[in-house]
Amino acid sequence: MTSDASAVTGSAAPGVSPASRVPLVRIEELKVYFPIRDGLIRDRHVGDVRAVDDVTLEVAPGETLGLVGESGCGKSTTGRAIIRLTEPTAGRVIFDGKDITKIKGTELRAVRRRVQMIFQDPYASLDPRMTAGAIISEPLEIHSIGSTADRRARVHDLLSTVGLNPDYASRYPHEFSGGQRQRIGVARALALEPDLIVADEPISALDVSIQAQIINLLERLQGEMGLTFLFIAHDLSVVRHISDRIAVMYLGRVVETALSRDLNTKPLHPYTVALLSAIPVPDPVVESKRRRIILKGDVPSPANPPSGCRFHTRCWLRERLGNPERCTTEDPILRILDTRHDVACHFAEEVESSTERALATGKPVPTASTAPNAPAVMVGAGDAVARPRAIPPTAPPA
Amino acid sequence: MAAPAATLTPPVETRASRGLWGDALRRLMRNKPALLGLFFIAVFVIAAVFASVLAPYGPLEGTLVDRLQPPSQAHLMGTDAQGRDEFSRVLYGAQVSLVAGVASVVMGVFIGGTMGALAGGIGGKVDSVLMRVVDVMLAIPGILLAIGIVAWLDRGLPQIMFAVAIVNVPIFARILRGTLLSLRESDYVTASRSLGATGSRLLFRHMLPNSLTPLIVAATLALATAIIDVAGLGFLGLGPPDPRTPEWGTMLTESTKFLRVAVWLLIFPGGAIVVSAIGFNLLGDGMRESLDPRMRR
Amino acid sequence: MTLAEPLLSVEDLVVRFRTHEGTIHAVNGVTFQLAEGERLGLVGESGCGKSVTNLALIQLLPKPAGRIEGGRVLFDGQNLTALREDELRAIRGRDIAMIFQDPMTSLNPVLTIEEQMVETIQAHKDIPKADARARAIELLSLVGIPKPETRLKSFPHQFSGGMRQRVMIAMALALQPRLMIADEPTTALDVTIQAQVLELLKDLTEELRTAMILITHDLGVVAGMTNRINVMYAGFIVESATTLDLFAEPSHPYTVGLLHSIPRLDAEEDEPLLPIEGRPPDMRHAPTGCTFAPRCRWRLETCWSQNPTLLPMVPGTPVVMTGPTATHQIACHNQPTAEERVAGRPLRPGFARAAAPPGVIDEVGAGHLGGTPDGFEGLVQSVQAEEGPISMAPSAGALPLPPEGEHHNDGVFHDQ
Repeated sequence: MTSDASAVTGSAAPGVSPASRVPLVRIEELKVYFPIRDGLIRDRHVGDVRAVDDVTLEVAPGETLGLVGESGCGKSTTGRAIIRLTEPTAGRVIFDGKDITKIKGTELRAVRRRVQMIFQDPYASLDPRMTAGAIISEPLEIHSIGSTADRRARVHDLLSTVGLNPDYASRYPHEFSGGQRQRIGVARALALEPDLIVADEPISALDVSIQAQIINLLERLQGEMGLTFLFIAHDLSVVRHISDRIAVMYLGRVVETALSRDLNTKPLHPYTVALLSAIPVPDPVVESKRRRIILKGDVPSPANPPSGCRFHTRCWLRERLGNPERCTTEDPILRILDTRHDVACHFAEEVESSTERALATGKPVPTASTAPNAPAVMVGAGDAVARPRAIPPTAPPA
Repeated sequence: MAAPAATLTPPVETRASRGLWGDALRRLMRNKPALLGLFFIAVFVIAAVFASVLAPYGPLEGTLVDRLQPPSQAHLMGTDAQGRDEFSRVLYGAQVSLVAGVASVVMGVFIGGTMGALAGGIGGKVDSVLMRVVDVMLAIPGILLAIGIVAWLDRGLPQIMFAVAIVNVPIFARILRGTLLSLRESDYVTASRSLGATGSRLLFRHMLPNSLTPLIVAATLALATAIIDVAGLGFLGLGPPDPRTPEWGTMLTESTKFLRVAVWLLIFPGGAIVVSAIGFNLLGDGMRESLDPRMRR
Repeated sequence: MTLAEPLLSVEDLVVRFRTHEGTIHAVNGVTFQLAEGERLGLVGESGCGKSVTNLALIQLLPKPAGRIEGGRVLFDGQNLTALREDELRAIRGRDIAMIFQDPMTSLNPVLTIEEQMVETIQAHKDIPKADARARAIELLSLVGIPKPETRLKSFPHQFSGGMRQRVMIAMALALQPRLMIADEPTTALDVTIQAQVLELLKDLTEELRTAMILITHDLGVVAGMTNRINVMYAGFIVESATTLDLFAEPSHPYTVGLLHSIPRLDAEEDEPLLPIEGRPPDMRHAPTGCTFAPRCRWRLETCWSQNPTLLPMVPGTPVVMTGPTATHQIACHNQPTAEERVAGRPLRPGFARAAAPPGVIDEVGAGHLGGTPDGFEGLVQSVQAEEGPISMAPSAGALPLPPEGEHHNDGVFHDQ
């Protein structure tokens, strides 16, 4: 099977297993609670929205970690907590070996130079009263880098890097399209040559044909500049494409982390399996053969998470196993089940042999797929027999 | 413009953006009601500024012989109870209204705006205290508050201006505070914060410039009410102590005594108040539409 | 195969919006039919005209700006464009029902579910309130809302997104309409909830033999939900086929481009994406020439001046408009070959994409035959006879419309 190094695609680091390097960022037992206040005269603290409830993750330099989950799972809050845009309620954020959880002032500003963010809404993340050039040079101004002429040159370079005509630096955001605005956002994030970029749903608000452009842009930049990405999104197909490793979150917790290839072929958490089976595939033949796992009910409120395992109220595996007590009383912890594959489920072993997982993922991919021109085998849903894919890998661009 | 066959292809736009204010101005020029309002205001301002040139008589000139004359060629708007030319007095009265209106709104914006900026910018206890003050001010009906202030300070034009300013303070405070609070959560402010921007940079570079729009619109609309308020207070007898000063409100007071014989004394100053107020209202509404940096997708 | 009249027949529909910024050519001559019980997908990105087409169908275009300026809509033989408002009202709800993307805005927030459902039912059927209420309960349980009797008294905001959409579906199906139009019904929902709602929609429409028009930008959703698909771009239908045919042989360069730009779960995860370069067009210009030409890798000279008509893929075949044998039609001067479809770019030896005429921006990156790695946009290519500075117009998605014409961007989307 492929080694860890080649699984970390786009990495600028030499072929050293990322697991052995010091992680660029590590969060330990992170909790972010938002207090709920109620009361007539005085606001009493009546409860908390537990957006992030004990999350431990790390990202290696040069890696792209995908953080995926549905609304309310806490992925965006996690991203923001790393940059300290939201203050952690508990836990630690360790950046390049240093604990940055509580630092302030100039210390924090120094760290901010190295961690940047790309936002979801290209229409709201740019100040409508500033020109594109001003927006991109703002980080340089804030940290007093270079003279005015230097900054102008840098803005020029950055605009070309992200694929925009540098002459447009004097235009205002409303004159650009959504995709172009997002590129401006990327240029802004790159201005300080950060080590880590947290991308919070960077393409969800864009048209499908533009999404692919931005994805490719980000991948290219990562390759050229050796960036590390934390890619937060709800669309697992996109996350899988762009990430080396994926962490799946549910209701404030990480339920599974794995290499993206493994997550798709051998998911071990019942939620991941359900998630995979719910994603529609643009192939009617495949779709007609699929049997979806339909989760019952809605996501519980993060203010009042279920006892024990948070997923137990909707878990198909639990139902299959006859509703074991353990799921309601004991909170599963993330445990290592395979190479770089952690799962938080008491009965993850059952998942492996379940028909649900087979239905959702089909057979795993044989090693022949690493040769660029060999016909890849489809990891199709619902097929017991793997069949050649309609679209073979594209030849490298001329 | 050499438009070739395939004109569907994007986007060789017809006109470049002339910056945000340029664009806003262009949009405003297309708004017919706003243009009408602008016209009314222009009339009003020209009257005020060039009163000494345009007025055929002085504001205090007049003999009792000519009293209560209906409008004629010699006196376009007739004469008042002292025989003074009404037209000239209306023109000079415009000066008073304009100055008083603008001054009180400017004062109100400064005081109220500062309060709002402090409340929204600093938050916490400062916010609570300032907003309670504003609440108290809002609890008292505007006109009563104004009367109270003038009564306390003694009558006169500067006192009226101050009173009207105070009445406007809570409005501007709330607007600016509300705008700042919502802007603080906006993505681009968050983005700047993540870049390491300091609080003052966020406030002055990002939040305040983007709060100008609602403030400008509110100020323009407040001008309309200020003119009415100033005249109203004058009408109630709280205006300049010298009864000879041409002020639309006091002119109206006098006219009430002669309604049945000289209705023009009510119509013309009253009409002037209405026209100027409408003008600012229309302009304010037009500005509200045109000033929004058009970014909705 | 039926010789009966199709349930719905749209003929050469043209819709324009007159605004002070100019005229927006939202729909430029769209023709399609729908048979009883058939499910049709309208696929395209924002600004392609799919939502506008549907609003036009039931005559709900925002007035006075939006107007049908050509063509007609025949529902069950009746010309909807010629009916009066009260006649239309009778049809809406009873024969044609519509569900929208954001149930929060289509459900009245100050009325309980009971009030809204009973009102809808009683508007079309003269039955006593108690009966209408019983029917409402029946419908709610049909769509899978637990404890429907108690939930009737709830307000829309007390439901989650998925539940609200179910309520919408219940209301839409209350009178067993012949046609249901679903405009991006699941775009704002989480993917697991989306699966629930789509499954429900499919089961119910099959059970009740309701015809459906499903509008979406998601090719995965249409693959599983529809019998036929129309792909729309810039107000035109560029490709029309049965769902099986469309995915087996996607033929229009736009369709090919779309399929190559979506990361797929059933593909290798590091399979590079081949995005369509450039941006959707500015709908303020009247179309001359093929609307996709600026972004098309297969374009010829004639594409700039001649707008292709929707014709059968295999020339000369008789056109079947509905049903499982519907003809595969495409509007293109230069169809990709089978290998090119699979590769995502032209492979013919010596083929070079036609250059852009002067004054026009070529969206496809300079000098790359197969397209640049990430599709640079905004790079102005050839000699530009520009008078005055260029201003980049906002994306064509920026129709000055309320949310119906858009997806994603309304703040209801995933909030984390």
